[in-house]
Amino acid sequence: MTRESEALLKQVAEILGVPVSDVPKVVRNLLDESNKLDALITQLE
Amino acid sequence: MGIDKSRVMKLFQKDPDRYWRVSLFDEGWTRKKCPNCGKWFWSLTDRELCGDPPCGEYEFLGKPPTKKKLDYIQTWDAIEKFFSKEGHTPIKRYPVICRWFPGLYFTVASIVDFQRSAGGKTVFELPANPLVVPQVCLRFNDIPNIGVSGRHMSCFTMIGQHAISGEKGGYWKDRCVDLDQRFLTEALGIPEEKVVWTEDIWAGPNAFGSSLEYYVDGLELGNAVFTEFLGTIDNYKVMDQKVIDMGAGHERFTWITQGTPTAYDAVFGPVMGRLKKESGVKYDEKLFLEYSKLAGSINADERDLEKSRAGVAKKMGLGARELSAQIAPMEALYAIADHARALAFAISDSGLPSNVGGGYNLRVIARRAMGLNEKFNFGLDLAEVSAWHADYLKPLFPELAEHKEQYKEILGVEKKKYKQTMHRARRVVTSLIASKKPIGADKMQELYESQGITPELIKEVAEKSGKKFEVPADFYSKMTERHMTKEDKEAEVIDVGDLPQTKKLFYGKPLKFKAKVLGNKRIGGKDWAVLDRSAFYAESGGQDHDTGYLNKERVNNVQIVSGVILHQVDKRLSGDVQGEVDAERRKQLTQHHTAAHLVNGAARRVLGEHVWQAGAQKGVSKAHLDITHYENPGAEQVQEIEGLANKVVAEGRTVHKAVMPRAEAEREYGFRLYQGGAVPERELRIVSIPDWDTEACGGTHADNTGEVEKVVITSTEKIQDGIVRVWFRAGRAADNYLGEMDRLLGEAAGLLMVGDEGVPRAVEKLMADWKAKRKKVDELRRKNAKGKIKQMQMRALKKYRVLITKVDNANMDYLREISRQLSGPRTFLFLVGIKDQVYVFSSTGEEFLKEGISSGKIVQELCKKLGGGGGGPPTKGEGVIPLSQKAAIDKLMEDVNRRVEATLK
Ligand SMILES: [Zn+2]
Ligand SMILES: [Zn+2]
Repeated sequence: MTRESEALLKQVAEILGVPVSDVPKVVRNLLDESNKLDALITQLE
Repeated sequence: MGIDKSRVMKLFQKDPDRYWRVSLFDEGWTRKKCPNCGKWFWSLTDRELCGDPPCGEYEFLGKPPTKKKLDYIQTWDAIEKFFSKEGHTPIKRYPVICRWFPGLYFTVASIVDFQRSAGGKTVFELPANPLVVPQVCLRFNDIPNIGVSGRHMSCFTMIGQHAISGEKGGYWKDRCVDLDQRFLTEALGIPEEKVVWTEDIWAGPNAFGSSLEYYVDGLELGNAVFTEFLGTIDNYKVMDQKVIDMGAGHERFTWITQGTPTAYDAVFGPVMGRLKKESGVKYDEKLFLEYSKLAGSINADERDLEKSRAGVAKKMGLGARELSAQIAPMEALYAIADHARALAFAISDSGLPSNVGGGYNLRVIARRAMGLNEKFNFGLDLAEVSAWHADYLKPLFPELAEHKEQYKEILGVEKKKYKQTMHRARRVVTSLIASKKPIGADKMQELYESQGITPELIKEVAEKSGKKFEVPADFYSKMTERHMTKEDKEAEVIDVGDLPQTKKLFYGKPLKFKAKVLGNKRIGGKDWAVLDRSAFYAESGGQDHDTGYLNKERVNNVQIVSGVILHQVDKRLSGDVQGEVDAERRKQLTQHHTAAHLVNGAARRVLGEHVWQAGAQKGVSKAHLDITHYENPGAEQVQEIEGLANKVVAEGRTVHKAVMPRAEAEREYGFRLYQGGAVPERELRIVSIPDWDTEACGGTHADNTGEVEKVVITSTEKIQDGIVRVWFRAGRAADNYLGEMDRLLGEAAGLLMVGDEGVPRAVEKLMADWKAKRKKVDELRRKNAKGKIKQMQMRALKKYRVLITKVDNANMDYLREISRQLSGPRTFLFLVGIKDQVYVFSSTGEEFLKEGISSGKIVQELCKKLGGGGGGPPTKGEGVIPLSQKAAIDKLMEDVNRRVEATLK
């Protein structure tokens, strides 16, 4: 086990502005949101 | 509760010979009462007054009574030579930061060196008997006087002459006074008739005794305290260990031999010269000598400085302002010199300016010095001034010069923080003054403690805007008193009755043991079993408690009170029990504790000698160590600390544990031992990682650093100014943490359908996409809205057109947009938008107004009716209604419709 994962994760957490432990949850939310926005765009267009 | 000093004085005065008469006084000395101050004193002459200002003047100014002039270093040489010849062991000074005695941040007197706490009592442990020590002391209760009075200092050396009577080498009053008198006359060459001994008493919290102060030419040089009685005035006994506690002023000796206008000129030696040269301050010695003589009794605390200075100026035939202009810059230089010297000692002894505890006082003087430097435009660098002191004091205190780099580093950071504070402070104070609210003592304290805003700064800003503001004379003494002593935390007192102390098995290997139940205690609604012996480690020293079993009963919690170990179990136990400690948990706690010592040693090496443990918590899943440091360390430093700790893990060093007498441990390892605070025991358990870290510690530790397996620092944070929290994990907890990082990253990578390394980029892209899509949605909505509005149908009523409608998902802006597009002179609009709340909008065209309808009134009335609010002019009304009233909206619109129709009938 190396510190590589931790370093990458901290980098991601910083981009998202959330704690490390919340990264997957926030990524999942973002993906969901993104999909919903796609649907909305189709609907509005 | 202290001892009433006046009662002690009364008691002793009944038999002065018993308490104050010493053999020296048999040689022609007489006892007199000073008619001015009422004090009793001994003298060889027929002098009337005691001579202690205001009962006399500093007669030595300009005409020293000694054979020759001594500088600061030579003064100690003379003391050391004289007292060594008289059988005293000269010892090195102790640190100015007091780590060995609970309740004190700073060493405030030489006797503190030898005070230790044992079983709730103060004991004296002298490394030699008798001894003499040049003990540098820090005191911050007289800050306004420093630089001003000519003699006050925050940093001074107390020459401690200490002996324990009745023990080998010790002596009592006669010899003590004899030696001090002979030092003055033989070593310094002061004529014996110039010496005055004044009777006084000393009383501590639980001990008292008589004392004799000695004066020459009006200057108090020393005070010999004879600590003789233990207890209170109503119930006392003669101590087994009577202690001679003679403290004399090193600085005073130097001063009296030179007779300079102020003590600072004599004591700071070449540093004063350099300060004058670098700052360009002109020094008129004649004027200062005259001023000093007259101002000898000025005490900024006791009197109004301006007033007494005006009096002095008058006597000198000068205007008050003229005198001030002449002496103020010099006073500032003296203060800077003192403060820089105090900081040199404090930083060398690993003190750190901060907002907490004693560090607060260091910050006060650092900022006062920086403020004065700025005010007078001296262009000095405080760290440099500290370094000059270090150079001058090298023969006596060589350790100072070794810390010059730290003066630069620590005072550099302090300067940056000071500048930031000043910037913020100016804004805060300006608005405070503009608000015209009075700034009282409480407000001043709050501004000072929370934001570092000094009363001087308030005064400066106030005067710039033409307001008067007086700095209270006792401000700093009150502030520093709040931060001089440590407050004892009131621990919850649990009475363990007469249960015996539990035999501790937890330092040994076996985790299974047999024991007898001695009793059960009911505390906090739970049962706690007390055994004759136990391998369970109770929560202490920041290490979490063990868990396990006593017979079949689970041990949930373990605490220790007065040496009695309490095991929290769900059922009362009795008789013989078999105990078993949870080995996994113990192993993890042990790894974390040893890792804490490793990280501490590593942090000290990477960040500097000022790093000291300020707290620690060692749990099962994680641990942290709080260290004294002035900023959150950078990633590289953290990596270096972790690397060093793991290097020692990899080396597999033996961790030594031994119980040894306190004095021996201090001698061998120094006061760095007391990382967790002073230990009130005569014997200390020493945990030592060779060439790395040695601490007095009661925790469980690995036998070899290799058992820690690995140390991972997970994060650091500044928890207070001057304190950094280092979060770390060791052993399995470290693996779990890294595993968790793998898992979290893997999960994110899976979601994003990229490899681990691709996650940051993918997330960045995802964020960017998401933002772009949101923008697009907004744009589309706006576009669609325009289209929708155009499609809205207005109803024709006579010559007018009317629109009364509900619009889903519309806020006020949207309603306004509709109105902008559809309204004209002959329209009436009533729109209700439903979003996060209910928005109500109405507009009435100019022609329509003639029908007697007011949009503002309608909106006001209807919103109010539904628990909201709104209003406006007849042409336009805007309001809101809580979303909870949504159901009533349809009726509301019908109402409006009906009104409009009725109006137009
Ligand atoms: Zn007097
Ligand atoms: Zn420890």
